[in-house]
Amino acid sequence: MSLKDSNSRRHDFYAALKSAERTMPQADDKLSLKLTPDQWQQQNKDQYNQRLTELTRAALGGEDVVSFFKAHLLAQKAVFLEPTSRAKILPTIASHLSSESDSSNANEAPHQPRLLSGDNPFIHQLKAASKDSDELLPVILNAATTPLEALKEGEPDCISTAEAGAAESGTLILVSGPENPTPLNFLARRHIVLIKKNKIFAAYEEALAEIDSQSRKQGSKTEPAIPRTINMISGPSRTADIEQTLTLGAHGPVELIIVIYE
Amino acid sequence: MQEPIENLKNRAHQALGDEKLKAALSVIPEGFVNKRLKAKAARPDFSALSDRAVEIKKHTLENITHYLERFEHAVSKAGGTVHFAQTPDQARQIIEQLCKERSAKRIVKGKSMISEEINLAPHLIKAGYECIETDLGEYLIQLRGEMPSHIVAPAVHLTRDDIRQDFQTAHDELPIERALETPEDFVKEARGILREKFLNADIGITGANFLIAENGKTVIVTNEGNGDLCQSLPQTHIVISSFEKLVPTMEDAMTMLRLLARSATGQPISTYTTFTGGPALKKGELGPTEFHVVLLDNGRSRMLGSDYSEMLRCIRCGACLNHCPVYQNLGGHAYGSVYPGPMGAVLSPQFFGRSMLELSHASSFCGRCNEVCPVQIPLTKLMRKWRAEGRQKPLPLITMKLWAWLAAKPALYNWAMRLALPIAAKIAGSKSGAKHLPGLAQWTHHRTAPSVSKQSFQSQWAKSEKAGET
Repeated sequence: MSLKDSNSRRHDFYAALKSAERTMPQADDKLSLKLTPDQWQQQNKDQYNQRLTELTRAALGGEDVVSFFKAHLLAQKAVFLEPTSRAKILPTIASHLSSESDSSNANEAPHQPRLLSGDNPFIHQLKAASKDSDELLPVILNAATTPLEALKEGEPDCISTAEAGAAESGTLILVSGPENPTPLNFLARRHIVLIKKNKIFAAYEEALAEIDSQSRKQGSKTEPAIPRTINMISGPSRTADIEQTLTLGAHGPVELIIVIYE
Repeated sequence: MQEPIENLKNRAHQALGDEKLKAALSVIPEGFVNKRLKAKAARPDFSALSDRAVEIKKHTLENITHYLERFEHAVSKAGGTVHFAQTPDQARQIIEQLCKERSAKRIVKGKSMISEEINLAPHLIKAGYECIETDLGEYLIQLRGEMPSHIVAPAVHLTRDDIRQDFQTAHDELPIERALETPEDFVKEARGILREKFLNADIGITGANFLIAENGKTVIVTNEGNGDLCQSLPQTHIVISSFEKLVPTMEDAMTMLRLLARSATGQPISTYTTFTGGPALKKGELGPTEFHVVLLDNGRSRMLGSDYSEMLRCIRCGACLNHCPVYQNLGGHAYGSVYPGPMGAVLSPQFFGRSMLELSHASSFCGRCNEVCPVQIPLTKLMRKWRAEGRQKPLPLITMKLWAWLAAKPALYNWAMRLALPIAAKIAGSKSGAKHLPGLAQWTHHRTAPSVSKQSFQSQWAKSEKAGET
């Protein structure tokens, strides 16, 4: 296929759309707004993001945002751990992971626990704080040591940090980067996600605004550093493809473990 | 792929006689209908969200070239490429070329209805690639060489016994005496087999539920996480999609997402919703080094300029299938199209030609599909349109003219009625209705015709008026 081909295909594609736009039946009901794209964006900003946030808050029925967030995730069979301090985060996770692997399916190959994370400043901090502990500590993948090979040796457990959370559906929002490599979220047997309490919002719009402000901080003034991938995660992997019966651990994590910290 | 049996009527007869299928389909009311109802109730603003979703889709479609240009620009800026295809053949060619240029051997695929529309995986396999469907339901039907029977739950027609046989044949490297009883057994086995494929694939192909114009992201929703493994592990990620998936902003996508999973499976949101776009360029970031989006038209631009344009709002949630009494009894395969149910009856003639016009007859026009559609598509109206277009022998004009002439002359009309009704009542038989009517055997074969009153409506009306006066 030559460049000429692809250019003419592009041309044909747009031409068909433009001619359709002209003959499109004009809607005459109340839902037709006839806004230009610029007006649309402005209306979203001025009116709709706020309105949808309010509707969502109303749907939460006045319940506390964090407890609603937790209730949703528990209903989706996520697990919460509650370490008493930051220094206790990694040891609490480690003991949870090892207590489970003891009792896990006996006829499976012995599961060598490996805890992987991206090159994540917060996890570096936690690791430094738990130095004296002889518990399982995360192996931090970094640019020099991250070949995908590390992930190919059996199914690891992985640890990531969430950028924001949305209570309306119990959703963790993670952004891609060296700190949280996307494949870890899905290759993990057990996925541990850390989220700061004040990053849990009621509605998606608020959580997006938080992500947006982070990417503005990271980018230049005019060019926000839009993350390549944004993952919204609302429970462990599941399928209902076998006779519509809910079964966990389809391709992604069998267990989603969440730690909310202050 | 197996060729479906000719003719909707024959396929319907076959489906209705299939006891196993009936058992498999019996999960739909509890599994889909009731779950949607509960999810909707938990969101008191559901109808406001639905109104907003209609606004979003209408606005985008009315300005479609603008949003497509923005999307294309954003994808290029992020280092990706957008390809354009008018026909399924062009789309397949583009994708095959991309695979060839990268000397790919193994391709892992996420679930995508548009790839079913163009029969992509069988085509790539024929071209010599190993192309594996990774959504569990899609994997199951790929093993059987079948079409999906539902746009959300492609293997809803299969029972555990079917799947056990297929797994034992396909995974012959595993011990034959292994346990394949519980759903967990099947899921665990598929996970093991497919994990290996993910880790050693050259190309990942996914669809997209939405395309975001402002930042060039493509959106997929899955519960399994298979789509994410397809798009984050192989070196090349190809998205196959179409222009009507565009929405202007991230926030607009969120509004649509609030409706999608609730309408589809009754979840507040699917387990994984992912926005992605462009190659992974940051140092230390894991992900594909190439990103391509292939946009297929295949009749959609023609729909946009026609009376069927409202159908382009469809977000493929499957609610109209789940609530359709015809779908609930026949399942998807009877439709003979990868798009079954009411939405399929409207879309299939657009994509696959006039032979699909017969699908507009797979409806009782009860209207439940209209009621549950989160983007308020008037499905019965559009199906009726296809029925009209498909009518081969319209009622002879002379009959209609005669009727019009008669109806415009009240005295003559009343006289004719007085004459005709007792005869009709006699033919139509007893009070309980007629089991046989001359010339209408097709209709009375399955149902009883209502009985005919001996008095016309007008004379009954006149009588009751009189009774009211006294």
